[in-house]
Amino acid sequence: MTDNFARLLALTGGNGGSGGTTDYETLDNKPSIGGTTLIGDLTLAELGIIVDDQLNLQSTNPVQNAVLTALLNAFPYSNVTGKPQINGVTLTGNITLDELGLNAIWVGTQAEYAAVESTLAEGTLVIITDDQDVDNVPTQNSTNLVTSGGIYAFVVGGYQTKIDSQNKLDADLVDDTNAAHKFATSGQLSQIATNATNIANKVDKVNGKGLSTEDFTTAEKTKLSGVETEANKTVVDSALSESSTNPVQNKVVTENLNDKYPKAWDVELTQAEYDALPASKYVDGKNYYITDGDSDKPIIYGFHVDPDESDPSDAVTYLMDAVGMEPASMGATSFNYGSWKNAFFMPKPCMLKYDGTVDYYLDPNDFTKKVDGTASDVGNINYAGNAMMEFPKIWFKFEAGTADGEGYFYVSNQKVDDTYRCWCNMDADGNEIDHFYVHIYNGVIYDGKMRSLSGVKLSPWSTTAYSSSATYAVNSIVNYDGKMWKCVTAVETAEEFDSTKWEQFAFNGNTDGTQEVNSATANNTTAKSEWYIDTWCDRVLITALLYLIGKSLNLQGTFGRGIDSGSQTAAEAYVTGAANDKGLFYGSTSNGSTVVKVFGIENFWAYKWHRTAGLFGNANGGYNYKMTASTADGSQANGYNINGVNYLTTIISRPSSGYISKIGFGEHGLLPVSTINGSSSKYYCDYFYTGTGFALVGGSANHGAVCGFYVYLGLGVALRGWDVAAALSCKPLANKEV
Amino acid sequence: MWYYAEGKERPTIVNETSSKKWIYIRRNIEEFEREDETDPTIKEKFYKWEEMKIPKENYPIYELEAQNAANLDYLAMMNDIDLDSGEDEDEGE
Repeated sequence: MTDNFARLLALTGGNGGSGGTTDYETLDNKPSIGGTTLIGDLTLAELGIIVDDQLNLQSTNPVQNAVLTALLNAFPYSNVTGKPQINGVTLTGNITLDELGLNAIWVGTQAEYAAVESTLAEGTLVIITDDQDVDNVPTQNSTNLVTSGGIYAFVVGGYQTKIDSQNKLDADLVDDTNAAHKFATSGQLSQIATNATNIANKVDKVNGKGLSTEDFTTAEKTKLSGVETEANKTVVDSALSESSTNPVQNKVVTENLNDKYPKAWDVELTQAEYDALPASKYVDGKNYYITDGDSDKPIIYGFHVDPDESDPSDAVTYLMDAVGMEPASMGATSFNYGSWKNAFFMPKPCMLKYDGTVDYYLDPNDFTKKVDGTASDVGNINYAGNAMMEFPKIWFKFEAGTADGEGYFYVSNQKVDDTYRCWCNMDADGNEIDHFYVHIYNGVIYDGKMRSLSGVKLSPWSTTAYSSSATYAVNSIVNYDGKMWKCVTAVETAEEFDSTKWEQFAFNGNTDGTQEVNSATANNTTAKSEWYIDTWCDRVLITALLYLIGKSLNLQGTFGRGIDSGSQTAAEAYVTGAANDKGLFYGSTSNGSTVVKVFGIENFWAYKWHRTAGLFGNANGGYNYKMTASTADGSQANGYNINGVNYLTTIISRPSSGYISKIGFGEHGLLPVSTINGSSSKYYCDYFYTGTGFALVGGSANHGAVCGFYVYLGLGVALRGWDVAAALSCKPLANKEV
Repeated sequence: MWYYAEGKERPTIVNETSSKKWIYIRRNIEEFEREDETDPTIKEKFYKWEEMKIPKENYPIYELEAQNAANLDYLAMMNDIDLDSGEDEDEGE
């Protein structure tokens, strides 16, 4: 039995039961509607059911069918204006999805959409029914938002559009600079329009041409084309010139005027008048205006020696261009040039060929190399020349002051006047030469020639001559034919000298002056002397230059003691070239075993006496001197000699032996005139040994503090010993004889 | 600072006149001989000493220091005190 049938039985009483009623009126539990029991023929009003017969905005009752029908008939859809559209198709009649540009329509909640989102094909119209917040709906693949009353609709694969609850564009879309497609404000649209107008009016840029706001015209171009090259160009010279007609920079004029003319001068005079004034003019503090002065201003360094000042530094006052210069000195480990590193008189190391021409220059910081960095020949005993320091042309003047021992020294790159000499730059013919050369190394004699070479151990000359009646063991040392030999193959029986059994080697010392001069001049390639031993003019000039750059009379205290101790053992252990890599200046002011090197010359003092030509102690208690090989200095001797004959004679007398306290300045250069109160720490700090004979200068490894400008006038040219030896100088001839 | 010096004349202990700027102080002056360069059998007389030079403006300070040192020596001598050890030289006897 079905439920419906059971209910019918229940209503009709035909249930077969025996206890129910069959009279509706007697039913206890009658049905009711709205509280009204259903009995009899009740009207809708009696049932509480109200059906409105007109439209009412407040009523919740149903409306009569007839009323609605009448209304709809009165306003058909066809008469509605502004019908909705989809993709431009008006929604009317039975429109297909294809006509709407859609592939399908999907309707659901956000949660349902999330589950199917990835499966929806492009062109699907998605309608989400529970969206209340536009920003929360899915945004990918969305387009053409349609929203109303919480419904969010879009077409998959189209562009997203966000509209807020007031149907306005989301402000984020306007400001989102990262969005691929953005909305613009009215202001931005206006600017875009302005930009478009400007772009439309622009002048196109042409490669290689410029644009300006000057409205350059053809007429102007034509006018410019007519202007000559460099028309109206003004060249302002940065230096004075004798030929230029250009204007000169103000500062150049000022500098030169300040140099040439003092702002206020005390004395106005001619050059000749000025030259005639005593040397005190340099230190009297007056400004001299030389009315006919030469504008080609030479460099003049000078110093003054105060004979009444015992301190060797305080005694020296800088003059002329030396004023303000920082003195040089040997420091604990390296040399400090002060202001003098680039002074015009600084020499250059070179290899000088026997013919007096420079083969090449040496690296000033490492004499074993050429300036190009390749190996040099300083240690090559077979090289046809010698290692020498090349000095430029140097003009100088030694001038005595009014007080005893007062002196002035001036050195210049030009012949300032006739009182300036260049004795060192004069050849044997009396001609001026551009350069003169001084040995780098102590002289050694090899194969009959005095040499200046590195790497030579200095063994003295053996006085044992080879005897044809003797026998010799290996390593025996003899002299033969003016050369030194060491036996390499024993000479068992008496025989004539056989050079195959002997090895020649260089020697230094135990030679007399004549032997040294002869070996030095053996370098010459002409009959005239270019190569010679050390000369007095070179010695006094270099010594004065050292006083100048060191601003001190204490040579050992300023530049280094040199090998002033250790005696013969130290001297014979020395190998030339010990200071090859020490620059032009090197030494130690604290010990007496370190080589001293000045102006590139090793052992300029100490180690061994330098037998020096040009100074001779005469028998009258004075000095004979000669400043150049020729007679240009007024001497009568043509060439140096070993006895001082026909040399010039000084009017000053030799003092007794002792430490030099006063030196006489003059044409002779520097000569000791007093040893009173001298010591190794005061005045000149160096010794003088009075006597007659050929000069030895510098001292030796036997002499300690007396070394430096130590002048010894003793036994003359005959003096020989381990501590005496000459070294080379060279003054190439200006005019070679062919 | 003391430095070595030598000469052929015996120096004075103090030399105030040879320099415009310095005063020379000497100590430990000794005589010695040096062979003549020409003839080694000839001995030349030399002196060697230790020397210090003091700026003239500082010399009064040096003098005061020297006088103080002398006074200390005198006091020590009068009291038999060994200044080096600080001990009374009579204590050990």
